[in-house]
Amino acid sequence: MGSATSLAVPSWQVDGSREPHLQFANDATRSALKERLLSGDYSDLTAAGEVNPQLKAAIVALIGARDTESTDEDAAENEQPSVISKRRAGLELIVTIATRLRNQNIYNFLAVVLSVLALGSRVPLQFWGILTMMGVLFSDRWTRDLVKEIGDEVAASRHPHASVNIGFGVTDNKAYLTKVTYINAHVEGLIDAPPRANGQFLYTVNNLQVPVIMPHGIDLEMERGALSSP
Amino acid sequence: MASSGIVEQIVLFDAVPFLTGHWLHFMTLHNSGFVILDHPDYDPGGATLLIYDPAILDTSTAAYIEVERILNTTQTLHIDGAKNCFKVMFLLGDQQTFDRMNVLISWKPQQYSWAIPVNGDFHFAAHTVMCNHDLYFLPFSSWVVTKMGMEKVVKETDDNIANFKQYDHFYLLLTLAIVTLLNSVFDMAQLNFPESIAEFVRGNQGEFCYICVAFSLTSP
Repeated sequence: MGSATSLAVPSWQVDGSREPHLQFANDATRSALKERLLSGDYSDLTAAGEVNPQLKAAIVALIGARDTESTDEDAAENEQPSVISKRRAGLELIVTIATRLRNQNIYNFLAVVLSVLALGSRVPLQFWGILTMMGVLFSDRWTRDLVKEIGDEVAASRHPHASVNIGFGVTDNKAYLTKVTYINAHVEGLIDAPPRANGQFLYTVNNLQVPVIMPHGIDLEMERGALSSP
Repeated sequence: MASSGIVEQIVLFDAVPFLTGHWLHFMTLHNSGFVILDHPDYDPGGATLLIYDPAILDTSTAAYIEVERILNTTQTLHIDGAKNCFKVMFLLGDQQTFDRMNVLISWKPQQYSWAIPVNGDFHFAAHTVMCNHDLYFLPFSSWVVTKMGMEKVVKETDDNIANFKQYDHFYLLLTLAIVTLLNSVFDMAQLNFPESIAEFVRGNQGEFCYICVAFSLTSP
């Protein structure tokens, strides 16, 4: 990728072995995207600009802005190397939109992270739709599917040092009026049951589990009920 | 003791060394210039791992049949192999859940031998604060509430747990005030012996020297 006639995209966002219409959104690129989101390494936030230095330089020259990298050096001096300067973020957004104008299915990392943040910030869907139309965000539905997919994978994963014998669970009840936006408004698995009415009072018990991490990965051997009262 | 197997296992706890230890700890901290209301400030070392299981719908924690449903769902998921095959599992819950789990385990000890109910820390703190409130509001803290004009937020009775923070903040403030007052009146040599201070002020039933109450409140 990266020919003189087209925008380049980071190597993990494209699989050249696929048919042209499947090169950007496929299992391999989606897996690479989820791996980056889970790794905690967000250095790829500015990857689109980094693989298109000529485009960045042209925009900077056209606008007459200062060199966008200089503020990063200032940030490094202030021991905040992870801070991205305003100018660099703005320029990255321009390249991001340009990238998504080329193909809206490209998993541009900045657009993905912004979309997840929008979901977490409860951006109103009407405004979200406008930002999606402009290429700034992925759609609300796409973002929900992505985070649910990641959540399911995390829930199914196992910490290498987590105990297989000792569990730790937290449970508590919550009651609220159902709204159509709540995921519990529809009951999965009950084919004949009508969806809950908007405004219906719903009792739920919410459960979470905390993996018990064993020091050095050495688990305690025990039988069922080993710690119960005689 | 009652004849129930559960109750028979309760061991009487001698609270005096526990209370005295806390009294000395917090008095010494305050006397050394530390703020006793500070919370620990440390790096927990990375993210906390939490895995949410699907919510159990149309279920609360009020009835035994509902808590039994919670136990059975947990058992299916985490004991019998749907997600995990734990041999034992600690289960934190609110007061209702904790209470009903213990009763259900006593009814079906074999089936729920894997379950170890634990007090949820928030609920434990909230109930402890409200117990102190019930014990000391009329003889002591109502006077403070009136003097400080806090009648609208700290009342004699309040059954809404959403207001817990108001009571928690009030009693934290009151505790700090008592510790500050005692440190200004007595030196540490005297404060090291709370029983002798209690004896010293036993005849005082005035507004400022209810040392037994202070001893209790400053020893969480």
